[in-house]
Amino acid sequence: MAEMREKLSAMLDDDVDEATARALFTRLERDASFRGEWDAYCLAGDVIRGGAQPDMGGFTARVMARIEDEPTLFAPRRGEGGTGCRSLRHRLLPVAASVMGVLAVGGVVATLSGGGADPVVQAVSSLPPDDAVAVAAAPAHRAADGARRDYLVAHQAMAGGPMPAAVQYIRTISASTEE
Amino acid sequence: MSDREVDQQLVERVQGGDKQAFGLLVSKYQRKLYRLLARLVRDPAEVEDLAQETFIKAYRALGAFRGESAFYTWLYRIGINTAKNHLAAQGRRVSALTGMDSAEMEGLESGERLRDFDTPERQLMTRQIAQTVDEAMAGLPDELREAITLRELEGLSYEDIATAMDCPIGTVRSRIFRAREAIAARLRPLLGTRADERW
Repeated sequence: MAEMREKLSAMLDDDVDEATARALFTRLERDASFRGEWDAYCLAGDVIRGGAQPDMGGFTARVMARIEDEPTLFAPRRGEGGTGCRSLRHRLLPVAASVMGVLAVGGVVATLSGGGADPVVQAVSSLPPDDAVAVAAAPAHRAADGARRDYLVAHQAMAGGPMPAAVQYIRTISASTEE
Repeated sequence: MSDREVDQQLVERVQGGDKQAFGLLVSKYQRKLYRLLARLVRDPAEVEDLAQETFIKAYRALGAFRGESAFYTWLYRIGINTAKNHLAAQGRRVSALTGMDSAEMEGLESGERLRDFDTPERQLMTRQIAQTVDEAMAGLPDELREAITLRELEGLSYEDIATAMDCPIGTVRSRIFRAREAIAARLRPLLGTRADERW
């Protein structure tokens, strides 16, 4: 204990290394009587240097009681992870994100293009002959829905929603042209 | 480690969640701050309230403190602004002293006698503390008194004191420690004896 107090005294005089200071702080955090030594050394120094000092009896305890109601601070440590590491990470992250973005879009495009062959054609060609006939008849079946499409095109204007008049016009012309 | 580095270590401990480390800073700077505020505000009760408020504001803002200035310089600015706002809110005149930096303010302070503090009881305690330290110093062996005087009053490093006293640095460290222990032993009955004064 006396050895720790001597080190505490030396710390007030800038005469301890960082490791010793850390050990002293840990002890000060846990030991109220050790904090009492700190109080007494600080007061003695203030009186020797500055003469009469205001009586601050219990001041620290009052401040600390108020601090108890405050949220505990957890601020990021200065230089955490090293400035060099952090700046390198900050430089690489956008590049990595861009590369990942390009790869993702490229993957989607490659999947859709599927080596140049139309996926519908590929599916039809792999079907048995009877099914292929049924699929080939599908356009004719779609043409049979023409009357329903005419009805829908004619009544677009009655539909709700924010469809601009120009879009309605384009769709109407397009539907008429297909016929 | 220098005094500033010790303060910075304490600040970083508070930033890491160690509230007691803030108490060490309060304990260290409370009288200096009180003396500063007492130059700006007359009423001693107001001075204590402002000192408390300053420390609370400092604690709240400590997360953003990065050590670009010394801790006390930063605390000093918070104290001055707290006092200014307090006076302005009451429509009272803000002293021209608030434009000074901490070094100028300390220069003024050291050349003047302290104003009387507070109630007769507090004034009595103030005198008692000063008298106790004086008596403890007077009762020290010469080599201890010389060592603590060279350190606290002259601000010499251990190395310079060792040269001045012609002894090893370890002896200087030991002499200063023993002097502090002797003074602290006399001060202890006056300090934190009540349960509500411990922290």
